Amino acid sequence: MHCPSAYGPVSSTRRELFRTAAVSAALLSAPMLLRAQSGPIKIGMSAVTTGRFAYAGLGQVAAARLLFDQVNATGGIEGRKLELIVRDSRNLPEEAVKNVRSLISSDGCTLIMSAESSSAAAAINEGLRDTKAACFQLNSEASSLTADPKKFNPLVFRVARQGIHDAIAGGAIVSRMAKERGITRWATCSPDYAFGRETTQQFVDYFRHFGGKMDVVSQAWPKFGAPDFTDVVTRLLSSNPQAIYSLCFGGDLISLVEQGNLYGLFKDKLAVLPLYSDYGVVDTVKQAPPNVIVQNRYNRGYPDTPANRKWYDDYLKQSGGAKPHNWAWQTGAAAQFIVDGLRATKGDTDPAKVAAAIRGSSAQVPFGLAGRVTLRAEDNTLINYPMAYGTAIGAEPYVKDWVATDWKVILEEEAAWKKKQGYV
Amino acid sequence: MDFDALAQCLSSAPCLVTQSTSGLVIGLLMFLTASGLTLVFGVLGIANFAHGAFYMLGAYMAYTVYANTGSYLLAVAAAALFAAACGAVFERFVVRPLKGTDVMMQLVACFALVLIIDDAAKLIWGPAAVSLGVPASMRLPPVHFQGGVVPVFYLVLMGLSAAFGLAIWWLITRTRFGMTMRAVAELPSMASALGKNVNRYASAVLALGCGLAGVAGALAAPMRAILPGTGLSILLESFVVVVIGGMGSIPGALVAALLLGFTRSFGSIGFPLFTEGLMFLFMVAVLVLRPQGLFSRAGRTH
Repeated sequence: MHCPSAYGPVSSTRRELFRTAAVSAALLSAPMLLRAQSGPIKIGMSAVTTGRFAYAGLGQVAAARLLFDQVNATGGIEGRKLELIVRDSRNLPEEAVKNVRSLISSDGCTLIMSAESSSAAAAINEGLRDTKAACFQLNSEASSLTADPKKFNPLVFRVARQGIHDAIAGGAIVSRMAKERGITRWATCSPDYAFGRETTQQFVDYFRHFGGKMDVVSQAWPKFGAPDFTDVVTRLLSSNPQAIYSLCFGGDLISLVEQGNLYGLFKDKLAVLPLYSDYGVVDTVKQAPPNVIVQNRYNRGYPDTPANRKWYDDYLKQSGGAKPHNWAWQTGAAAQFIVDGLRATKGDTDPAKVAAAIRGSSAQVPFGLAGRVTLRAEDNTLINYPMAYGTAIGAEPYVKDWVATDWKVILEEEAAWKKKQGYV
Repeated sequence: MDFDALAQCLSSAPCLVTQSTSGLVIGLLMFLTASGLTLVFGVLGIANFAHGAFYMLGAYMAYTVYANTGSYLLAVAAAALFAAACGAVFERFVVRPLKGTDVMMQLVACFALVLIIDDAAKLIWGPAAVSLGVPASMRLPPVHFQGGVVPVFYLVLMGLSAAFGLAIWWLITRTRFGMTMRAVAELPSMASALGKNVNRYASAVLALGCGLAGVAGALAAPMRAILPGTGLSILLESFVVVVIGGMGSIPGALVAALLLGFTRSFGSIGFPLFTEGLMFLFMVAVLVLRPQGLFSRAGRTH
C-alpha cells in the first residue's frame, strides 16, 4: 500500500522499517538507562593514605567502608550499592584539590568526603564553587571554614569537631578544676603551626573568661614532627609551673611524655593534654604520668553504650586491628549523613537534593550525644557531639571520671565569638 | 629573645646543670648519628641521603627485640647488627652499581630507598607510632646535682654514646682495619694494587656507618616515638652537624654536635623562637667562611 508524502508516496515497508528502527533504538538504549539508574552510587574520598599521617587516612577509609558495607549487605539504597572511591593526597593540598576534581569529572562522583587538613579543606572548598558536588569536610577544625560567610558554600558540610567548641568546653571545665586545686601558674607547649597557636590562645582566653586565674609563665612551640623534646622539657621545668597545657598529639605527644617523665616534669603538676586520650597515645605511652586531664576524642567507653562498644568492635574488624581515632568517628558520622540523605532522595545523587535532605538533620550514630549528632542548618556544621573531659589512666578504658559540658553553654559562647569575629 | 632569662640561667647552678646535661645528651645522640654519615663520606666519598632510614630501622629493631626479650642491651646490639647488615646490602646493590655516576642519580636512588624503607616499616610495624619506653630498670627518679635535674637514663645514654664514639675512634686509628680503611679512602687504586679488596672495605664502611645510625636509633628509642618517616628530620640534623664539623671528620662531628646540642638547650631559654634558625645560621656561616668545615680533612684523591 502506498501513502502520499512530500517526497512522494511512502511505502508501508519503509514506514514499518522506521517504526522497527525506533522501537529497536528504544529497546537498545533502555538497558543503558536502566544501568545508569541501577549502577553503584559512587562516593569519592580524598584522604592521606601514605606517609606520616597514613594511620589517620586509612582509619577514615575504614570507618566509611564499615557503614557502606553494612548498607550494601542489606541491599544498598533503592537497590544500588554504595561504592567508595579513594584517592591518596599524600597530605599535599594541591594533590587533594586534584583528587576532588578527578573524582567529580572522571569518576562521576557528586558526593565527596574530604579527609584532609584545614589548608587542603579551604583549597578544596574554593575549587568546589565551579562544580555542583556536595562535600563533607571530615578533619578541618578551623571554625572559619563554615563560620565565615565569605567562605561558606551551601553544599559543603563540616562533620568534624571545631576548635572553638573545644576551647569553650576546655576553658569551662579546666578553669573549674584549677580553681578547686588553687592552680594559677601555667606553662603551655603546643605545635608551632596554626592549630597549636590559635587553639592554645583560645583555651587561655576561655579559661580566663570562665573565671579562672592564669599566669602563663612559659610557652614552648616545638616544631611539628620534631624528634627531640629535651630542650622543651627543660624549658618548661625551669619555669616551675603548677600546670602544663599541651596540644601536641600523636608521636610528638608520646615523645613529650616519655622525655618529660625522665625529668619528672609531670610530678605534682596538673597536666592538661587534650589529645592524650587518642588510642595510639594513651595505650602506647609506657609510663603514664599521673594527673593527666584529657578531652574525649574517641573512646570505647564514652558514651558508655552497647551501640558504641559494638561500633568499636566492628571497626577493629574492618581496620585489621587498628583502633578508631577522632577522625574515624567523624567519618563514620559523615557516612551516616550521606546514607540518610540518599535514602531521603530515594537514591537520587543530585547533590543539592541530598544537601537539602540532611541540612539541619540529626543522624543516629553510636558515638553521638544520646545516640545522635546534628548538622546545624545555619552553617552546615556539626554540633551535639560528645564534649567532655576526663582523667587518663594506664589501662582500659584508659579514661575515667568524665565531666561533660552543656552544649547550651558552648552554643551561646560560640555565637558571641562569631559576633566578635564579625561573622554575624 | 629573652637574654635576661639566659643570663639568669647561666648564673644559676641548677639551671646550668640541667641545661648543660640536656645539651650534652642532645649533642652526643646527634654525634652518634652523624658520625656514621661522616665516616661514609670520608672513606667512600658518598653523601648517604638514606642515612636517616637506617636510624629508623635501628629504632624499630630495638623496639621489636625489647618487646620480645625484655633486654635493652640485646635490643641495642640487635639494632646495630641489623642496621649494619642493611647497610652492607645497600652498598652491594645500590651504591656499588652507581659508583662513578652522576651525583643526582645517587641522590634519587637514596630517596627511592628511603621511601621503600618507610613503606616497608608501615607494612611491618603499622602506620601508627610505637614506643619502646624507658626500660623498667632505668625508670628511676632523676638525680639532683647542685639543684639541677639529670635523668638516670640520660647518664646511661651519655656513657653508651661516649663508649661507641671512643670505639669508632679506636677502630679507625688503632687497628689494622682502620689503617686499611684510611688507605682505601686516600688511594683506592693503590690499595687495590696491593691486594686489598676495595669493594669489601666499602661494604664494611657502609655497614659501620649504617650500624652507628642504628645504634643511635636504638639509644633514642626509649624516649622518642618511632614511626615511619622518622628518619628525615634525623637526616637533616646529621647533615648540619657534618657540614659544620667537616665532611669526613669524626672529631669535627663531635664538636659540631656538642655545639648544636648546647645551642638547642640554652637556646630554648634565651631565644626559643630562633633555636632551629640558629643551627642553620651556624651552618651557613661555616659554608661561607670555611666551606670545608671546622675540622677539615685533606681532600680525597679520587
